[in-house]
Amino acid sequence: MLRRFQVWSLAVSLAVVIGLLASATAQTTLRLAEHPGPHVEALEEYFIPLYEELTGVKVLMEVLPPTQLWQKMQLEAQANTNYYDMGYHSPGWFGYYYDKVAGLDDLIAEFDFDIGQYSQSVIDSHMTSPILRPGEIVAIARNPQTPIYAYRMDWFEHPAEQAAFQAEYGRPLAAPTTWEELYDIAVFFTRPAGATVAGETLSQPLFGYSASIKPPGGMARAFLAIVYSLGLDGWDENYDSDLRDPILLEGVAYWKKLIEDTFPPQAQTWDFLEHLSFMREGRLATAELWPEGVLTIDGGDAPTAGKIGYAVLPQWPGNRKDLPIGRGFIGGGGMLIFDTPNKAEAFKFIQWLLEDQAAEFNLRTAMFARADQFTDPVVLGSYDFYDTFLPAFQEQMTYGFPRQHVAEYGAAMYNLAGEFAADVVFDVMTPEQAQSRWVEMMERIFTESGFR
Amino acid sequence: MSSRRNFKPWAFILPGVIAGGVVLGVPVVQAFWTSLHRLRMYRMHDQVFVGLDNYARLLQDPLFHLSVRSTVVFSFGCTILSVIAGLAVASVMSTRGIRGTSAARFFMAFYLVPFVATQVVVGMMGRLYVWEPEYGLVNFLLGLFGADGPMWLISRDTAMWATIVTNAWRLTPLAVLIFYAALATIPEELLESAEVDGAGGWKALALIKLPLIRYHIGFIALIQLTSAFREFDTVFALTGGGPGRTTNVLSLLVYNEGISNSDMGMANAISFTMLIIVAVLSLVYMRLARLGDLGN
Repeated sequence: MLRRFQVWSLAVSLAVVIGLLASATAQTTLRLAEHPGPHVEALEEYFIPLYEELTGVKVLMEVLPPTQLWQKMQLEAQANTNYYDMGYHSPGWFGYYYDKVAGLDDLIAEFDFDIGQYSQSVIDSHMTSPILRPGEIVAIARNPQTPIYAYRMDWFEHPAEQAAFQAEYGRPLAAPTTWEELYDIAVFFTRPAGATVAGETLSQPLFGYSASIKPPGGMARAFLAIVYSLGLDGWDENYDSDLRDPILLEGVAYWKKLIEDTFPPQAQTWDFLEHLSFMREGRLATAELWPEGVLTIDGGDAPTAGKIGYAVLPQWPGNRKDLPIGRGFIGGGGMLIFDTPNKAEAFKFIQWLLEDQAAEFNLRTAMFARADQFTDPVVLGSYDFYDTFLPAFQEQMTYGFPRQHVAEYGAAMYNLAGEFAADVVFDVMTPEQAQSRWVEMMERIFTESGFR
Repeated sequence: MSSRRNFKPWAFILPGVIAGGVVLGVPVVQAFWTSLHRLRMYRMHDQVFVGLDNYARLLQDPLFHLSVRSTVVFSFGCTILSVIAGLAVASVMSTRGIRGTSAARFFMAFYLVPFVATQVVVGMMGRLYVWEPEYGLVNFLLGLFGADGPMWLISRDTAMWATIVTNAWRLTPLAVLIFYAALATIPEELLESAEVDGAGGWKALALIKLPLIRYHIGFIALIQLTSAFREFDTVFALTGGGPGRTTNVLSLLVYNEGISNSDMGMANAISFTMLIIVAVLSLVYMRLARLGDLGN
């Protein structure tokens, strides 16, 4: 009797173990490569657990610093490891793995994804790649964005600051309309510890302006706002560089002066958005703002919430395209799917996240991509700062520079822009030497690729 | 019989030669072959033979010259500092009265920590806890004496020195271990008779100990020099090559060219040039330090 019980116990235990193992292996696991940002916390703490609970599909997210992210995605894709099923999509990096990414048109049709929610400019910049993957949707946009200008509105409106600025510069203290005005304001607010700002004594030095400028990636991201504001594209339709233009030297001289006179020295160790922590702590008066960082300075728990003003980037007078305001490139990104056996499951996750949960996603991240997010009263009522932030964001987006869809963009434009600016700012080369180096390297890259 | 006898030692070392050839030779040949090509990461299928073009461009590139200078300063700085620190610690540890005590054993284990720590961790620790201008250890200690420390890793005047000190700290334990073992082999009677003749302390160190462990010093210096010459992880985590290109040593230049700029041909050309520089440096050094006489 006892023996029979033992045999049955053993058999049942084995069945349970085998069943558990089988269900574990049968469970779909999606691997997601992610860019840092406010969406990471939302994904980690809310969306992924909820999705796993609803569907039984496991989602493993790996967050890497921006530069390592595209490098790892490239290496895994080129080695055909199927390691990532989906990843963060930046149009500037797409050339590194464009041939390993799944086309989404069939999946969009099969799962009835509403592509009509995206404006044509967002589709052009973030969802298609006309040269590398013509005629296909290759990604779903999540947070297309371009840098704007953020400033301490409470300090700008303070009577003592207004009077002091008026006395020194002969005009009211207001968001700048030219890059030279931006410099003046930044210098005006750069003050040592012990000085006062808006009637308060500073316990630490105050800096006038900053971006995150760690070379080469951070420096490139920030400096390209100058390059594109100058009205330069990088190259023309014949793939001849337009960077020989002397206006580039004016731009980089200005950039060097702005950094030396107004940036916190730590800015050169910051890769992306870290400077906003300085603004949040009251140590920075004005800043370049990639919109995905807005919650850092104006979210509910930020000491500076309700004190920030927003404006478009200022104009560079004499720029080569007669742009009425300044502009950076349209960055931010979306989500792409690698051509793995899990691509349909990955698409279902992305559709659930960005379509079914569109309003919730926006509430938790303040990221905009779809038309319904811009009109949803729940979304628009969720943060007070949207009244001033969204007009600046939307106007700036209409002038944002859509990056050229060639595989060479990263090597010829992005990395070399960062190297060029860093080499001039840190006196490694003269501006003329650095300019020649950039132009020669860019044109050689295009010649090698057969474009010239 | 004679030819058999001659063959025997070769037979013994043949497996090692074959393994070494495969493990070292194949990558070296492959790196050299790739350095003769134009190969972009985004066009891996499009490899074009360009001969010595990558080397010609490299030699004309001011950034390469800058990186060579940075690498030489960094390598020799790390080597000199770690050898001196290693000698100092090993000398103290091997002093009569300290040697063999439980405190000495504890400190020997303690000194090994940086040697066994991952290099990236060493770099991150250095950046976040040691050299950080507001909360770092160094500026905290300076603050105790009323001094304001600089922004060590951000200033172009101090970044290289901070990087050298951090990496030398990581390399020192190996020197301590070897020197400690070497000093332990010096006969006690020799030191005692020197002491009787009036040569104690510094004199004994300079006239007896150092000459007797000169081959060990030469060996460690060579190991540290070649290790520092190739260093990537610590520098990458500590400064990323900055500020500007102040600490952009050759291994970081390889990374920038190969991964960031996607130019694998150029990256391999730099790597192969590094190999040649290290080989020449090592040969010259071995000749000067007479390390070749060691077997005799």
